[in-house]
Amino acid sequence: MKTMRYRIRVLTLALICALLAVTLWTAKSVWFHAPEATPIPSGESLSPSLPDPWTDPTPVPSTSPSAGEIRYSVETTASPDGETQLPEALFNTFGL
Amino acid sequence: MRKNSSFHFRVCALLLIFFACVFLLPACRSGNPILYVLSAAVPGSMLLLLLLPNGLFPLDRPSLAVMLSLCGFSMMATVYLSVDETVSQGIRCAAGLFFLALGAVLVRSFRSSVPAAGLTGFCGLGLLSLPLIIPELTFSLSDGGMALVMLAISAFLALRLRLPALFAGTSGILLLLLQKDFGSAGVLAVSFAAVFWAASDSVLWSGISAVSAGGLFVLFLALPGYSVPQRAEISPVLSRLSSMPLLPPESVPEVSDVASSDLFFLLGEQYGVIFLLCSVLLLILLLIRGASLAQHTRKSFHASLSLSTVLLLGLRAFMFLAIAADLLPLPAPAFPFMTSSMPDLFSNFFLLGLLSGVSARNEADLEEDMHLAMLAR
Repeated sequence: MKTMRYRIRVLTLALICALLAVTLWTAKSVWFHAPEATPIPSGESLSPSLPDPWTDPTPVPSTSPSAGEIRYSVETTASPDGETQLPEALFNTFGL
Repeated sequence: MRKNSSFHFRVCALLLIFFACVFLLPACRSGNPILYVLSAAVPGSMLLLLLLPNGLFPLDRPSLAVMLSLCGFSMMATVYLSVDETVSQGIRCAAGLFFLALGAVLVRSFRSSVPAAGLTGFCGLGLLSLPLIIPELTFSLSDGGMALVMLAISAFLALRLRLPALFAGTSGILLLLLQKDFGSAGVLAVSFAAVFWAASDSVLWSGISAVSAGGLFVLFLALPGYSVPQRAEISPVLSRLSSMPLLPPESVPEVSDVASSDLFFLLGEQYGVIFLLCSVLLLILLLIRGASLAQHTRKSFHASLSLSTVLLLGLRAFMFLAIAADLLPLPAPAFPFMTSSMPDLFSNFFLLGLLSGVSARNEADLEEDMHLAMLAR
């Protein structure tokens, strides 16, 4: 009976320790639970929903200007050597 | 002695005031007359049970106070969501008192004999095999069956009949594995091996019991067509727990289906994680009380029985928490005393009744010793 009492004590202590450990583990997984970051594969855009302006040739549709909004449009011309030049009217507009 | 009774009185008074306030506050907010009745009925019935004289019916006061607190928590969980569900849970707990009495009477009148142990084991195995005999059965009586099997094993070990004890334990595990109730089979296997180790003096027999319990698991897992039933979704439990506040929130969160929700998680959502920790601590107190009763018994049968009760309740709670923490991918069992499933709740009351019976036997033995000491003087 003495051995039995000792074994009962050991078993109860083990059970209580296991219960406390699993409670602490649950608390830890609840309060320190962060969603795992998904690694971005190399060569992919960070936001795949938006088109890449360097590679996607589709023009973004422009919206009509709202009231009070001033929009400037600049037409570029190509010089004989192939370089893009700003129109002369633009320099005149800013007094240059 | 006076100091001890004064401490018990204070604890009981605190318990009653707390549960009166728990139902009175929502009653004042909503003006629901049923909640006013509950705020008087719940502490009143607790007081009645705690003050029941020992001569009328023997109950173990400390474990009864813990059980009543856990039952009160299970009622609290739905008080803001559905008063009807709270009343239903109260009725379930009241009906469970019958099984508490049954357990206590069974232990007090149980004599460790081969026919009594054999009959108890047969009844336990019968309850465990019911889902195999009647597949249409919608509820499981495995908890009650496990309690009876452990009672039989304790009786056989007290009679030093190790082979029948081994047969009862392995048959119970086998029946649970055939039903694919892996969680219950694990609880029974660990309890069986632990009680065998504590009660049988033989190392050989302890080893045989552990190997046979573990061997059955290995055998079933190696079977080609056997698959362990897994929980459908694992992440919602953790995400549900992480969304719970630490302290009671100011506004009560809405729950769509109260009746089918787990009362343990509902309690956390309504009152904060602090109440869940209190529930676990209360259960640990119950385990300590059970172990203390096991150590103060005169007969090895009562010691084995108390240890079996402690292990069954503690391992159920351990499994519940381990599944909540995603450590075990199995269907979650119910937390002891905090379930709306009647078979589970009644089996928990029955287990507590067994502890009460052992406590009553200890007190009777103590009185007998004091009487003999008085005569010797």
